[in-house]
Amino acid sequence: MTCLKVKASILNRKNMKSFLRFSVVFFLIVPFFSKCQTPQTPLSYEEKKINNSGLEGSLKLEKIEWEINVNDTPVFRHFAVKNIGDETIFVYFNNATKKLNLTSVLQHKLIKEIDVNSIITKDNNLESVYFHNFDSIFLQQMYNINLIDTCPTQAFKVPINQSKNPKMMLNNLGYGLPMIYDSLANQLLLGQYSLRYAFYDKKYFRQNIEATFNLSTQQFDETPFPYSKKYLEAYYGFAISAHRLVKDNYSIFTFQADPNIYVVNRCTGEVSVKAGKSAFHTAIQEMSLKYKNDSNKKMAHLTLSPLYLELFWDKYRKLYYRFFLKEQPDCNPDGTYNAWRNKKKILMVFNEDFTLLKEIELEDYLSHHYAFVAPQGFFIKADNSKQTNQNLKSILFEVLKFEK
Amino acid sequence: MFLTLLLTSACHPNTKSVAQFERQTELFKYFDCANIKVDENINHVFIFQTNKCGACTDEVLDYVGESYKSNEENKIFILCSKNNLILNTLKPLKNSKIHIDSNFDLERYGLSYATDLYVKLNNHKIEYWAFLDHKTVSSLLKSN
Repeated sequence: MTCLKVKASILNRKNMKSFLRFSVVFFLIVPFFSKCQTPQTPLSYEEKKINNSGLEGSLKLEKIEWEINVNDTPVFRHFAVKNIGDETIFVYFNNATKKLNLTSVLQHKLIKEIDVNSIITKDNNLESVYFHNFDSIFLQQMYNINLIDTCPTQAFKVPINQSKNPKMMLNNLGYGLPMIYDSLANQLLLGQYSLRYAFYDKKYFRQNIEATFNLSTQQFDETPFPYSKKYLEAYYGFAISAHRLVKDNYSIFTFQADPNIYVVNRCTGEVSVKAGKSAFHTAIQEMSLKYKNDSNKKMAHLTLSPLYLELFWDKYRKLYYRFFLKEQPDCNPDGTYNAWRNKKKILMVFNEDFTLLKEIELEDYLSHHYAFVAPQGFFIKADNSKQTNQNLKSILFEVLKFEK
Repeated sequence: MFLTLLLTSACHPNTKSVAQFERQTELFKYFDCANIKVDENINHVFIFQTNKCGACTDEVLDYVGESYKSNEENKIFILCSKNNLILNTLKPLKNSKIHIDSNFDLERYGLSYATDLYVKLNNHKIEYWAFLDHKTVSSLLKSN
């Protein structure tokens, strides 16, 4: 936006009329152009006040166990979920067998194994997977994006992260920005982070965090939205993971150190900031920059800090779910120390206007890393210790079904 | 002169580490808990953070595999989780014990770090310790 300098001379009474006429035209035209540029985010960080009036209401909760039987012991990190009518396809990349396993949630079983050994290699590992349908499975690897079917036949392959002096890396760093296919715009949405600036440099947090790849034009672009401004105010070590939920033409971003929720309209660039603070919230401690290269100090800080994590949209019950990890002390009264696995997990439940309805503490055996929404409810993976029948060739979930 | 000595001893990897290891007591408690017998001789203890990104790198493994290939002294390798690639590197080393921390006791004793740890014990005392990152490994290799 061009800044026009107004000379002092035109502010005298003689020229006031023409100045006012000019100003009216100026202030009509400028907003039209500025709408195409960087979105109207606040200049400094502001924590939104939570609307927790919904906590007084009665949101009922029903819990059931749900087991999906597979052929091998499932060891995985990358997964994708697609709801198709009453069915939900849960896809995961088995690290042990190097196969993409497609399972039917409704039928509780494995329905297809895809050998992707020739595609996913140690030097070009998998970063993210998106299941569109059985003919279209997108694989984001370190150096390319593949589109395959269940044979697997490769329909296309797009190189990424191969330029000589890249400024940004397309990557699902922290697992919070998985690749998503946006059918409205026929584009892929990808996470990205700066290679130019270190994680402790404020400029790192001024870069946009979501890239787009238009499948029609084969062009890359960016969603105009950087990190939360909270990261410009202080240094938080490793607590910098961003998470993104895609809902229609909105990308909804959340950040570990920030209670706020950022709803970004990808078409217009408009940003709406929502309150997302937990009743269990405690302020995250800042870190001194003298520890910027000390992984142990940063790991310890992350392990003990309160953290806001993934957001989910339940289209069946019109609810949002958000994970929150409570702060914990370094040492317990009995002399033992706390690790990441000891962090208490809170599930926050909001209505579609982001009014907080309920907060529940989850059992230790539930993992916030593997959760998804299906017609039956909100699925959260349980670890193997919970499997009473010792069937290690299965994936066990606890399904939470909320009813208003 | 005192300052020079202090600086020299802090930088030279084969001298006694100036700073005391913060979890010294916990380390010995861990040995008891994990039933790891440590005698009064020199014992080279390695804690590999196999479940952490960026830890237990090829560089660290190559350093351990090469530098201790002919070493006859006692070696104790503690792995956060079972990893066949790492085990294959460590198993051929002489006089070595390997312990897999399957009960997550390293965490309970505050010994779960972001980077791998090396501790040299002599007569049940810590003679030297260091986190094994690229910098430390490079200087250890130069001193060898």
